[in-house]
Amino acid sequence: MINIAVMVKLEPDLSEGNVSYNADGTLNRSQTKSILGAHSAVATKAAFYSKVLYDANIKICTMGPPIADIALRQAMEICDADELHLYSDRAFAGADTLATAEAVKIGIERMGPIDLVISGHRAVDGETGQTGPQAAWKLGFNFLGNVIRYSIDVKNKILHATRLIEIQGLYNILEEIECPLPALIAIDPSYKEHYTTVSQRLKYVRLQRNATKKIENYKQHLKVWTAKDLNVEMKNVGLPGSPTIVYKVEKVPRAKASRHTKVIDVSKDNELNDLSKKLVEMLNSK
Amino acid sequence: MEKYDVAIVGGGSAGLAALKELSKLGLQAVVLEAGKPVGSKSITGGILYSKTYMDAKVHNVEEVYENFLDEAPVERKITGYYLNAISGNKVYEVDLTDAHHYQTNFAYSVLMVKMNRWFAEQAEEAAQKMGGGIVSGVHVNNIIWENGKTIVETDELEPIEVNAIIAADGVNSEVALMTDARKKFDVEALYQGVKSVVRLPEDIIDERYNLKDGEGVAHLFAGDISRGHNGGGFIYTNKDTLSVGVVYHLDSLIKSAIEPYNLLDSFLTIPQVSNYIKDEVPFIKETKTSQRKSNYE
Amino acid sequence: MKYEHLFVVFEHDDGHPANVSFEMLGEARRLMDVFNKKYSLNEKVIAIILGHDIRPLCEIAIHAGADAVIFADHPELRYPKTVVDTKVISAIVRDKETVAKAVQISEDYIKPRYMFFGADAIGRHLSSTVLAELDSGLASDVNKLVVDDVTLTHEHKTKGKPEKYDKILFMYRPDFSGFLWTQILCLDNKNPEISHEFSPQACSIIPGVFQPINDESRKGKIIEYEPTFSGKDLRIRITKREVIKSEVPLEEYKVVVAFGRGIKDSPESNIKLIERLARELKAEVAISLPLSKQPYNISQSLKSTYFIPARVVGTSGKKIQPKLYIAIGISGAAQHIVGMKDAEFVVSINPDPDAPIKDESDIYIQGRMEDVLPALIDSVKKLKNGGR
Repeated sequence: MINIAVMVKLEPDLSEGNVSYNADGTLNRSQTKSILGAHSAVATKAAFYSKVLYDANIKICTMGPPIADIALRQAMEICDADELHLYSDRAFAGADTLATAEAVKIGIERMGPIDLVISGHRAVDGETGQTGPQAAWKLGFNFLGNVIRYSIDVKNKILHATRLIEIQGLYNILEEIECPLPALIAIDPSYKEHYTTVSQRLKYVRLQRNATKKIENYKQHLKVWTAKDLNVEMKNVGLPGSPTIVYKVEKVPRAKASRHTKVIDVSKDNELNDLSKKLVEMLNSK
Repeated sequence: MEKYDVAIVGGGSAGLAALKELSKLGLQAVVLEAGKPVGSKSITGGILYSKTYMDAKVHNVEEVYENFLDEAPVERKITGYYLNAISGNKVYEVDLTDAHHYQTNFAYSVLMVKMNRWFAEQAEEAAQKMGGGIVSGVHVNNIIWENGKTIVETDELEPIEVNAIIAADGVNSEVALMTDARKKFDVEALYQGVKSVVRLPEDIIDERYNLKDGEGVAHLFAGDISRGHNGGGFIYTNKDTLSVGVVYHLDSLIKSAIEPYNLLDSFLTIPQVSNYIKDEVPFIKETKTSQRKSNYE
Repeated sequence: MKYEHLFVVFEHDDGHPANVSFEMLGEARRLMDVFNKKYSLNEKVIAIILGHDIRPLCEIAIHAGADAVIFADHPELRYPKTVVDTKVISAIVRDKETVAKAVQISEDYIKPRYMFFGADAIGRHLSSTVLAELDSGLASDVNKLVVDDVTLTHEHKTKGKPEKYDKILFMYRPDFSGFLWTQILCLDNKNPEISHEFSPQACSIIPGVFQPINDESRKGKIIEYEPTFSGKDLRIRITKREVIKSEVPLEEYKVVVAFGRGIKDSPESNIKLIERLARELKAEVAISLPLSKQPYNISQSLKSTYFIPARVVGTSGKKIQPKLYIAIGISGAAQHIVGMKDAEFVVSINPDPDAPIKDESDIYIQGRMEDVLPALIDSVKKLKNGGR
């Protein structure tokens, strides 16, 4: 039996109609809905692959306030998860990624044997992408990032993954890599689902139906853990356990203009023609 | 290679009915449907009938789907059926209701995409018990017979071995062509239908067509409306929409090269027709055309 | 002192250096020159380079601003592997003997004072695991750095009393909207109840932001480190590697037409307009970062064609230098500017009379794209058809 844990996060919903921006372009958090983060959803889809292929047992976890259970419920719907775990305690508040990774690491250790942990690429807010790899390190698991495809050799407990590595100014690399389980993989946003047989497709649909029914009673599958339940060292989590703090938040000052800007009015024919001329000129030049 | 009892190519109402029946018989059957979701490529006028013929046996929809009468999302029960013969600005209405009701258990107006969705849910539930089901977004591109095995190949998935194949992929069946099971239809054997669904509030439909309690009517139109082509038009009442369309012999359309949507437009502007649908709010702008060998709308 | 020097983890793929490596070293050089002057110290910039047959990179790193280089050359290190590299890097920075060969260190040296990584596919993960191993703090995607002293009061770190911290690295990172700057500090816990020293102060640096230097007269010590590998590490094996073309090779196009959240009033028809303009100008289409998160309800095919990471221009995506860049409905967050500021000629269309992108534009058209684009497309078309 393959046991999989998925790290997810509740994040602001940035889709049009749900997000609210202030006049200065910053996010209006209080007016913006919270949902399962987009990258968390991709990570969850990736976990579902193991359920379809290997009948894996899937446990979803998140560290957050009590309402973060919405994220867990949404994740369960995507992957027909078997267990939901919420690590919620005032003591966890204000944690930076190292302190979060510590809490999550202990949570995952309490899950029993885990073969593979899947985390998203990064949160849409925060956006550090650090919590996954740091949890991997604390767990002592192998870590692979930027995974766009994976499979498990169940018999030999080996993970095979395809990674997409993009470095600015260099070429892109597609890499096939293998490592022994247990491992933690960070799923790249370009991850694509890959079901190639009729039976996989049928199972996919069947499990999805199952999931839709299951989430009606999702709380039955949910366990909420306090700091005491997890038996964490208080000084390693939350604010006490965070090396970094947010010192200040300020508007980015407008950079000095680096070009001499000409403002034109396209309702004036001559200005429009001049512009088009310039564009076509550039198009035809070497 | 994976093996299934039956591959049903095409997930319209025919394919889904086959899936339901085969599953009832204890077979492991799979519908392979190119569209996504299943049943979304079907089109119909349309009215769904249940019939009892004196000298023929049919599988009626309520026998295939046991809960049809209780749960299926039908539109209105057709209680009136009229043919309107149009000449210039005169119309002669013929009441064909009795003829329509002959050997008919019931007739309901339906919206096929909605209905197929329901058929799919029922069929899939039955099929899953047997280890079968529906796979959508998959296009069958080849069928091979070799070494006593039948293999179905698709664009997207690994091939499967089957014991039987049902071609339920419509009048222009690719499977029929692929396997030479049936030659392509001549133009003379085909009809072309075009329809539009227009929104009209339920109470206005009730009032305008003099209906109550979920009743509905069907109006056929013939005569001057077809501009010299072989065919006619129809209006069926749904709950809060109307299915409005025209059906023509394909050969007559080709002879004088007219676009189907032009036919529909000209049908809609005939005063006797536009009276029935005035105040309409079309909500499916595009119309689909389909070729059907059928004598029924 | 226990924590000394700035270590920069040099990035390369099989000997091909990433641009961010030079940018990091340039900024490291500037930062430490200011640091040493301010505090009358003599701390160094040390580049760490892991790989195979990478000896030539060492001189290059010195020229780019490093005072010294510690490198590890081994077939096992040829391609970046997070777990393996983390162990080697962490071992190097804590190995007094090796560090002492490269630079002068105090008797009580334990760990680096500062560390830099690249904020990209390699560095973002590597920095996370190295800092987890070194048990300290990391700010990711930083685009401004300042060293200063600070006095602050923090409920936990200072137990509510004002405390003075010196030689603190102020790490500025833009938020996802691009309009807010968050200053992250990595600070010791001076509160006796949870006392903890957190070093190094580390960050991953956004590519394309800082200026590289290249001074071939620079000299410095180059020290080799012999890595060891556990059996477990050796079982992480790369079985295949290929260079691939980007899904959307923006850098190959002379003209790039980019769009952002300004399409929101009618996304589908606006995208069609943008497509038409791009067609007329033989341009490829790019997007701003927020759109890669697929915020609008449009057809699946438009979504999968345009709202993809491969089309993003900016620090999270591509940095391009087209001849002509047309920014439509893009406000001009800092990260986006980084991606297109090297374009030869920039035209922007925006309903805001003074959107930030105006500062980076040669031509600025104030107006809604719904109004401007049809006129522009027609005008260009007419011109191309010989003014017919």
